[in-house]
Amino acid sequence: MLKIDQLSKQFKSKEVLNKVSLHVNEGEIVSILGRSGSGKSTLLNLIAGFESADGGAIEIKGKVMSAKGRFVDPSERSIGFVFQNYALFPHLSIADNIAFGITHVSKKERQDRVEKLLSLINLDGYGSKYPDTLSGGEQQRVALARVLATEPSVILLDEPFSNVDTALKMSIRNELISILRETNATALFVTHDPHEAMAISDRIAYIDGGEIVQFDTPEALYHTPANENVAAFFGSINRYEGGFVRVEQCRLGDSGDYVCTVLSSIFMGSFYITTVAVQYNGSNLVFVVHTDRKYLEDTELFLSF
Amino acid sequence: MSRYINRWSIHTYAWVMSLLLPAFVVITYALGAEGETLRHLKETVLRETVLNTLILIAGTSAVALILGIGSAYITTFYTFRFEKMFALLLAMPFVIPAYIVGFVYGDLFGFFGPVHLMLRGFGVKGYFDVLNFYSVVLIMGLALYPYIYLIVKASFSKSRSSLLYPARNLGAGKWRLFYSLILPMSRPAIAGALTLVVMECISEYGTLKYYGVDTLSTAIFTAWFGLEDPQSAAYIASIATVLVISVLIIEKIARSGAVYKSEKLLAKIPKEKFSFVGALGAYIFMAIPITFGFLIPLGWILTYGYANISQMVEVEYLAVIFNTFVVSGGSAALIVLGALLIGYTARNFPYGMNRYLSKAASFGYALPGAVIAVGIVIITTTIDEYIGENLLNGTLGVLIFGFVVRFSAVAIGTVDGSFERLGLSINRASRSLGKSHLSTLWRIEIPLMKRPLMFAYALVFVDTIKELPLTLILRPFNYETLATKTFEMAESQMVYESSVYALSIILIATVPMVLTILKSER
Repeated sequence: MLKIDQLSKQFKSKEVLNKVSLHVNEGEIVSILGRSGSGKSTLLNLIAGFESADGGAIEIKGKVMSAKGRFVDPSERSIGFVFQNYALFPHLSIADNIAFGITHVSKKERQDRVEKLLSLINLDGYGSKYPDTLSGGEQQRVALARVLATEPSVILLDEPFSNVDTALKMSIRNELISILRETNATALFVTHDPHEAMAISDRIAYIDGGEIVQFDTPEALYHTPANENVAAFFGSINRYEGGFVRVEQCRLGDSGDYVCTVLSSIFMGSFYITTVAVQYNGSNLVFVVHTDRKYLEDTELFLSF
Repeated sequence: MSRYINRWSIHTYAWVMSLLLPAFVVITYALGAEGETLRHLKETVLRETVLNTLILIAGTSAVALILGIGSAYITTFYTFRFEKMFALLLAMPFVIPAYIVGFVYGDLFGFFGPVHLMLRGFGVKGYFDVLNFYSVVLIMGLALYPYIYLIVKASFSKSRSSLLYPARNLGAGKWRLFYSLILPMSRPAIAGALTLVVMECISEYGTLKYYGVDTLSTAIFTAWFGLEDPQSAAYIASIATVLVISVLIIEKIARSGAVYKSEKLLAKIPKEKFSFVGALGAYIFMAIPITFGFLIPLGWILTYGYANISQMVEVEYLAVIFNTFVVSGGSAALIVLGALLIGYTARNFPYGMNRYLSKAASFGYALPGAVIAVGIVIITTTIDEYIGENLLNGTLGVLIFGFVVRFSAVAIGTVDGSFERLGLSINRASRSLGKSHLSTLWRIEIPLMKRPLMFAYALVFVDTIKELPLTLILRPFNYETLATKTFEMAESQMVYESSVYALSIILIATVPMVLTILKSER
């Protein structure tokens, strides 16, 4: 469906993307996850054709969009782009926004499609309103409907939830995903939030320093991270010589593998963060453990993981 | 077409190149200049004109700086009765072109003018000749200080309490605060505003001609019309161009290393109240430029304009108005379209040299109108001679092209700014929904930029209406606009009759001025 091969991009001789390859299947929802400056937004812009690559190729539905000596204009890529700020056209009504990309059909058919999409995004009757009268979540759904109206091959979403209140994030996210699933869309998300990526995607591409470090299911990234950085991105870890272990995989008890001494125990609501000093292969380490009770300072315990 | 070379960039480069062509031609033409007149020119006139130009610049800058910074300081940091009215009135001289102020004072202080009549009435004998260089400097200062006032006031009003309070706390007095903190912080703004004043001085023609002061700008006319020697005219024009480029370089140096972050979120400084003596001084200070730069010229023009109001229904006047609107309306439309083209290309294809397109296209604004006109006539004459008939010279199209070269910068600034505020994503959204660049510009961006585009149109329109020297050289034979008519009537001792035309210029110029002020107060 979407095939990215050895894609590279430089900005002022700084390598932003370095030979990135990625294959996305039809109907699949994939997240591109990484810290800010990792190159994830650049990747999206290259796929959309807003920027041009320095090397490599992009293919959508078997058609080469970008390669050496070839560059297909964004208007001809059959790509839907949902922007971080939604980018609705403020001078057009909601209906006109959604209809904007629909061409080569009769007026009647156009209207029907707009109505159908309005009902898909649960905004029946909103057609004559203007974008500035809508809430953030509603605007986002309109942005998605506007993209769906053109029946694109791939939908790209650039940090679509970063402008949404935390309280509403979950429900808005679920709505968006269910619409995408319902329409069997192929979608590529950019996000910096690992929980969001795990919640919405079939597969996650973790990108760091312009390279894709790991591209796999959310479970695989969590349980068998390719390296310490990937592991740390999904949650706190304890490092030791020759390895690392997730904080939530460590246990304290009266028996176990390593003797340790409690340094502190802090109440966090549903659990305590307990810090211990531990002797591991002859070196002194500090480990963090989630416990269900408070331990007094200097208590001697056993750590296992 | 590749991503880098496309229709947009080709058209834009062609447009910008043609805007730069006149200046280029003037300089190359001047390099090849030789001959008797030129030698004569070098030995005699040139020294004086260059010196006069420099004195004019120095004198006018001094007057404009004192009036401009002084009134900006008073209106920014103090509160007083009729504060808003004074702030507005201080900007108003902007709407009266310097040459009109010049004519008014020429008449008021002329031998048969009201001032001398009155003095004679009191039994005072003798004649005080005010048609001299000092008067020109004062008139230019009065006409141009609003540049400094408006720009520096905007900069002063950005100074925040977080910067000034600690200094106060450390015991710095008001005067010290002003010259060691407020003034240096506004250095870039002052440098920018002063550059505009200097450019206007180099460019000025009408006032200088009327008062008989020879500068580079008038010397171009003398060489062109008097000596009929285009090469000398081009030579003088190239000296003016070099002067302009030096000023731009000095401005760049003066601005450099002075980037202060604007701290929007911090509290503004509360305005202070004057003591009685302070208030008196402030009112007197502000009254000087308002009275002499605006009220007296306006009063004179209204008086005589009203007396001659019957002219307004005459065919001659209506023809001049029609001509003016055709040429200024057409030029402004082209300029705004060109600015859209440049702005769109620079923003959507930000590669290589494209980033400098706006700067390059703005260069004409720094050049005196006479310089541009000379460059254009050289081009059109060459083309006409080549094809063997008079196709271009003295046509309306050439005059409009002259305005486009001279005033593109005015629209480019506004258009670039509004493209920036619009952001990229709205353009990209439309493009990814299958729309071409042109369709996106037409359906999305132009409707969203309607207000700033209209504003840019109005600004350019007024600038072209006021422009005198370029119109004088490039207009078709006997084609009169408001500016040329005002100037020619005043020059041929029909200064009262010219008042109707002067009044028309002022009325038209007031519209965008008021719009600007309303906009900045919102």
